[in-house]
Amino acid sequence: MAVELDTPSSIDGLYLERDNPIEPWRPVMTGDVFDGPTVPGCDEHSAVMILSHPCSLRTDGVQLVERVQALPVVPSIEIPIGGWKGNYRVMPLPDLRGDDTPYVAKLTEFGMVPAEDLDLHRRICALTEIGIELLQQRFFHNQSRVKVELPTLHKQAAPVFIEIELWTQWNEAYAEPRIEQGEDRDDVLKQEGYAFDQVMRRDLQNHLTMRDALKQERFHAEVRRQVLRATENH
Amino acid sequence: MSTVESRIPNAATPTAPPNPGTEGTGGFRRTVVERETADNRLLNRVSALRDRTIDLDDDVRALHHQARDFALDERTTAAALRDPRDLLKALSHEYGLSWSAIARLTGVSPTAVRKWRRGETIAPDNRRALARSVTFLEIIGENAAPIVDIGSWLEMPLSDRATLTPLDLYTMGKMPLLIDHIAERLPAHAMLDEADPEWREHYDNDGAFTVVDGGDGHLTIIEKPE
Repeated sequence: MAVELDTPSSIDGLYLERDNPIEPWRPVMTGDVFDGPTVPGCDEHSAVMILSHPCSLRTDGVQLVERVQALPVVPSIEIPIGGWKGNYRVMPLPDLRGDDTPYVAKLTEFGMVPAEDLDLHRRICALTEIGIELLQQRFFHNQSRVKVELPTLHKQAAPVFIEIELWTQWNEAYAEPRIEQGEDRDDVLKQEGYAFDQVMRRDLQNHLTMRDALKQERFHAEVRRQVLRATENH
Repeated sequence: MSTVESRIPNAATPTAPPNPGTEGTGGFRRTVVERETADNRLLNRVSALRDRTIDLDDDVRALHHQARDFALDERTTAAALRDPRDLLKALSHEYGLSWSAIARLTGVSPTAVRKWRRGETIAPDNRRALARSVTFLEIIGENAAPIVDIGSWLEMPLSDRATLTPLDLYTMGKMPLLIDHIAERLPAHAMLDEADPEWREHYDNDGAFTVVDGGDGHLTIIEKPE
């Protein structure tokens, strides 16, 4: 029996943003594509996709690790949606730059990229939650020949997905106005990142922080409500 | 009721009790036959009543769904008059839904919801889809005494045997079934059977892996115990 990997429902279901560059309010996340850095030792390429697991991207909840795992992104032949079931060695990135050119991230050639080389001005793509799960499923399968179902991957990564979404809204509320008033973007994003982190460290209930509560599905909606309320009252 | 009784005209007439002192063996046999006949009449009558009740239940259910569709449509129209940003805020801030869940509820891409959130104009169709989502959650709230948190309920599996959530059913156009379920008129598995008779196969749980607390602040995927 041939193993079939999962497919996105459409290209729109794969990409959260595909602008050039995408807005900096969303923290760097697995699946983001950056122009500029390259993975050492690979064939020629000019963009990379962040591969590091969402749970392993940061040291203290805010700062990126010194080096992140990344995949080279290269132009490719077109892989139709049905072709996602096979083509195990790549992550298809159809119409990545909005010019109808198909790209792929090569799952067989991952390496390390310095986090300081990830310039938010040159981030060209962010994946949806499903997009990130498809990337994980393909990479895990490529590395181990094990297929993990998307709902399982989602359940594991949901706490980080929620945190990134709330963090983005925090940045829109507080970092964006400060930067528009002329403050240094990187400094502001770092400061607001730590301010948001403090909210996630608050108790939702006795001895259960917002961040820890996210590990239980039944608290997801309540954490969102409370953090959004805190965002409004900050 | 009269229709059923007219099908079995003598069903309600009690049979006279036999007189064992004067009838002898022939009388006993006649008594048995009469009782069997009476039993059959009763059985036929009850069967007919039951069939009629089932027919009636189907009719009433269809009528109920129709009436509810009209009411939902009216409420959606009223909700669509609200500022769409208020509707978005209700879904995120009051119900605690993620942007991806809101995208699924309204049938658009996550990118579209991001643009709405950032102030882009919302097309009339999507504005109505937003209003319909809010109205649906309001109705769930009105009918759902046992549900403490509707936002959480929307994203939780409806059975231990499958991954299907209320949000999945809503996106499949099965809103009436969800409302029946919440109002305790339809058990979960019966609802899932109606939504997709093969839900056990189509939305089977991951048989190989499960997610547990990794002990390092994150969740971890492990092989499912035997």
